[in-house]
Amino acid sequence: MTATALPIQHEPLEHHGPPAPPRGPRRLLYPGFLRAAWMAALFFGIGCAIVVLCRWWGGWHPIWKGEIIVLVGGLVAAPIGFLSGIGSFDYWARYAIGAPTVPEDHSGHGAYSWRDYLRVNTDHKVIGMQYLTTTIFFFLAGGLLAMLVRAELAKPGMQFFNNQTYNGLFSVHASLMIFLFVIPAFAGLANFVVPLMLGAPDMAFPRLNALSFWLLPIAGIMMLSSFFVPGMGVQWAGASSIMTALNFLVTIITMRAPGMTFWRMPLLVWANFTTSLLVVIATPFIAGSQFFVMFDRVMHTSFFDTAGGGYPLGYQHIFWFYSHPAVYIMMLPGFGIASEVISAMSRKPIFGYRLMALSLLAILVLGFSVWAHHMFVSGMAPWLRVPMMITTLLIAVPTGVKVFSWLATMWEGKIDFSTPMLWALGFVSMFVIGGLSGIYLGAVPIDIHVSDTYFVVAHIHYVLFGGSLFTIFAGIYYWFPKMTGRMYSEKLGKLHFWLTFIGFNATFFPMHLIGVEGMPRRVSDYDPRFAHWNMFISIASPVAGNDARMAGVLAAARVQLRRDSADRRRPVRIRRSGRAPRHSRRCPRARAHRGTGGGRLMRLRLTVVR
Amino acid sequence: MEAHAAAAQHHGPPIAHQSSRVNASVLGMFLFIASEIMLFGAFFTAYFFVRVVNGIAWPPPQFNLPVFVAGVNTAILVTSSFTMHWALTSIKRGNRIGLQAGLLLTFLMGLVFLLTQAREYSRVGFAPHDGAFGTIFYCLTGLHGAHVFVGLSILLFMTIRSFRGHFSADHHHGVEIAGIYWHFVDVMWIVVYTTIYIL
Repeated sequence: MTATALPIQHEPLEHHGPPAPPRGPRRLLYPGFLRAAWMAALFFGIGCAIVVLCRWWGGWHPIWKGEIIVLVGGLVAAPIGFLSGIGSFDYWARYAIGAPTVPEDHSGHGAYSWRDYLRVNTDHKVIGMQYLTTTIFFFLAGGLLAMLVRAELAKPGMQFFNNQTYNGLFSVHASLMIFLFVIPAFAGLANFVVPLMLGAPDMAFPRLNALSFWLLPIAGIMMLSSFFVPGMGVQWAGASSIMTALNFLVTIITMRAPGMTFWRMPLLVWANFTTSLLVVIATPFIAGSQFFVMFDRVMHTSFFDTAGGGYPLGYQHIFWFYSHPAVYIMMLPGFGIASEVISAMSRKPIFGYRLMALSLLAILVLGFSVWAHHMFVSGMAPWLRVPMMITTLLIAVPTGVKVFSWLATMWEGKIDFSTPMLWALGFVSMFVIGGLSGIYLGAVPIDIHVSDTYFVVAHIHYVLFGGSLFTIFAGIYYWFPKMTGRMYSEKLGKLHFWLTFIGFNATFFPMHLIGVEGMPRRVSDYDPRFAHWNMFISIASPVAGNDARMAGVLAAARVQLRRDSADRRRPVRIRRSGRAPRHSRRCPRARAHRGTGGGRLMRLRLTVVR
Repeated sequence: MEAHAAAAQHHGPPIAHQSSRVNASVLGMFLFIASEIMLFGAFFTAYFFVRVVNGIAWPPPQFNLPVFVAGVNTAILVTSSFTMHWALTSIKRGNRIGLQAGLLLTFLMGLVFLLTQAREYSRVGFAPHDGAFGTIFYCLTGLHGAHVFVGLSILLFMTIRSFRGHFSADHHHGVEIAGIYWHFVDVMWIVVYTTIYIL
């Protein structure tokens, strides 16, 4: 159709493949898992040597101290060795010493077999897929931990775990779900979609993009193993999300296609723009808080130790100064996805486009002024309570603008109730419930009553499970055809939605009731009068939590449609400019109206490839 | 035909449309610095809690801060910012000798700063575990020292590249971005010095 995209396709095929790894011992120098293995070991050794040398030079005893060795060698040096081995730094290392850099050939772009997903790949689509598959793995791991928590809570008294293990279970469940699922899953979807919507060829810093993906598995493994050894998972995951956010911001500001002004950007791009601003500004605070705790533990400093003049409440202040904006980091991209899905599936442009974008910015600004509403009962200065309550309740205004705009978008629309739309509708309804309980919790008197009860657990799951998770699923189902060139089964997808929706409500709604009655959270044992509801919740939770279903649905889509297209004998391949969903009767159409200027570009690309 | 040949020469994704006057790498560096400022902000928040909210003696009567030595050190670091600027303006005019001399001087002054700081640690007479004052002192200056180390590594790479003849009047992005980072490290030190040593 247009000639512009043709040269890419007409290049000889052998030019595309990555260079074959050399044979023999030289293979050890080829970037990949082999080199990563020995370089991680080498860097671990270097880290240990530095610690031992410093301690010897400073005259500290003992010279070989386990904690510091684990910290420097295991948690800092070895991951850097792994990243260097896998090839994240190859280009930069050559650049740094002034050696000729290997030109960015097409081997770094696109994927031609599953192996290409297991190496450092700078193509934003491949990175998006890498993000999504990795996060789904950690999602299942985190879900399994939640099931263990529910197993322990099924009956009053101690069943399977001691208190220490139980604390570990729900803490790792939470940190995995936040740092290894919700935040990177949104980053993965955005990685795939945002450059396409902007009409940009790739992200602004593709190599940084690849690096920030490869930090994730490291962070995830550290978090999972934190039952046994101390970890630095939060810091590595935080570094990863800061790099990604920086990349999104620069891409959105400097790489928009001609004519794509800020006020024509799709709302998903707006959502990622505001989220990235939040990440860049707020995430260093959680890194700080985790470092302080680590220093207090390992180096016996006195950040939070009153004996040495420290200020224990400072931890909560610094932690929540990140972690409250973090709930918007985990929600705003979902708002973007919901806006895209609802408008496409209602066959109408989004209602109040400009106000939708401005409300994102309002949430961004207000989000920094509400952190102490998590601390109403912490013993902080009492005068902080009322200002924080007012700003908290103010956030209901921009959020309300968004909810009503989604409803107005659907008004008189021709609504298509396919799977992504169901997830988006589920999101809007569940998020409203979570938002309402949020208003309860934001009000000081009620919060003092229900602080640290299951009411809070219900609230957080209504906004994160019913909110973030539902929109992630909406996004995955919505763009699945675009990403893979195959259509999922609509029947199985709907089954997945309804099971999750019912299971979710059966699990978390009763938590409001037992919370108001005073069942405390974070404890493995409870008063027998809550036994009935807890047994009910524990029975319902596998229905909500067993989201291996989704992997099943998507895998079924691949197998089934692979059979359909077996006669064509085409290799599975993701092209630079994406691949048209061939099997879908109802594949989401790119739209061309104000506010989604990317739609036209995307459709253009689809036609070219077809 | 020429365009086609150029297209064949070009590797990687197609050239992006530049939708902002700001250069992508410069913007990236500024955003990174914003994030770094917030990291320092977290440490300064801890400083605020310890010194203002808890109101501990600063420094506690049994400890002494080497204000004068650190002041000389500050002067060295501030001077290095000027030599960095000299290096950048030189290469903008195509003066490679000025670039090399400027980068080398900057690097050496940064190194002197870092070594003086290490020397100060070994002689200052208290350790990170000696109460909140020691904690804040070591963590803030240590965080800054880590940034000096990163800045020095970047400067070292740029110096190597400049001696291998890499930069010219038209292509000096690496120097510019390294310079922005170095100025940030410098300004941050002035803040750290003022709050820790002087106030």
